[in-house]
Amino acid sequence: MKLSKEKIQSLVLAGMVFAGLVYVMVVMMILPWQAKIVVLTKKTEELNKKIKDAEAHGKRITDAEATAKRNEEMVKHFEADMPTTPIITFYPPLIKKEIVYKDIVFSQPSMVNLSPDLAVVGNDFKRIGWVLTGEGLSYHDLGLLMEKVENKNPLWEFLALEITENPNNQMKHFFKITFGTVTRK
Amino acid sequence: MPLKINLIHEQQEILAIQAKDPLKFVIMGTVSVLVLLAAYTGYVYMKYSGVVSVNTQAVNKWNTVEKKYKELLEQEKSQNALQAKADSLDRTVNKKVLIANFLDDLRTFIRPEMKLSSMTLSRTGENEINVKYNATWVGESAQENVGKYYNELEGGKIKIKGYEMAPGSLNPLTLANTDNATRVSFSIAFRLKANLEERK
Repeated sequence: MKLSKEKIQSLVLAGMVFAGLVYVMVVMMILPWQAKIVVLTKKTEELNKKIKDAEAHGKRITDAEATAKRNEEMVKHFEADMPTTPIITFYPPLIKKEIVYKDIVFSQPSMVNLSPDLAVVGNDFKRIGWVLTGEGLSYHDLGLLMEKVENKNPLWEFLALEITENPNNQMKHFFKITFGTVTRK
Repeated sequence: MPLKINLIHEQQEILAIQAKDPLKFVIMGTVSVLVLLAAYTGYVYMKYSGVVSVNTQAVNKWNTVEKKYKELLEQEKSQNALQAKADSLDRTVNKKVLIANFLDDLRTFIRPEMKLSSMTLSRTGENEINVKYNATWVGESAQENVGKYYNELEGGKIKIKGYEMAPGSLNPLTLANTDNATRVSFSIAFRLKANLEERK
């Protein structure tokens, strides 16, 4: 069979149309869609993981509300004992009032600088050092005084004690007490 | 017998040739390929639409979750700040090292023969207490007994519950007026580390 010139022209044209259609379908539709399927599937998986993690994290935060409430009450409770007025006018009379032992005369509390490892109490609080001296306390008395102060105000702490013998009375020593009060920064 | 003449013979021949025309097969094949390809394209499109739909749902869900999550993160920040405050106060209140009980227990270190002239106790930020005392041993073989006492300290034989001597913190023994057999003055200094768990 011999093809006429017109037929050959038609065949070439049809071939070009075929190739065009295949090109459009494969290169412009199937391949980009498949690439997008891969990308979107990955994105969706990541997003689902993110959602799952966020929900789990959110649950932990919600569950911690009770602890946060307790912490808030605890902080409020202790902050109520902290001064709003200048510490140098607030603490000395208070210390004089609390540190009382029988007929012992304590010196006026004077503020001292503490080393940073003692002065820093977290990010929100600081410890102030106070020094008192006196005469006439026995070792046993000091223990009792310490216990009394500990029970009276949990934010107060004895940081140092210096006891020196009294040549006139073996039971009534000279002493120097350094103790700290915790307050807002 | 009448002569049979096939008047459409030529036309039949043309049709027969046309029926075997390879062009027809080529065209049919091409159309089939196009149909299959179109079907596959449709399949891929459906799959793509499905993935887009699932992704859109996930994005919408994230948008909903994210809003709430951001609020919770803010809440967590204040929770953490509060926790840090509470922790520092808790340490202050419950982890004191120089306490009345310690003062009582410290008597374990003091022997009846020892007359103390001074004692210094000071806490450090590392839950340790610097202990220093000056004393005079009064009794027979004073120097020897002070040596024994120091060895007991060094060997960790004298203990207080909830506190232990920081390794290497015991200062060398210093003696004074060693020419007196019954009265020897000496100084002791060391650090005690509080074991807060054991102390409970």
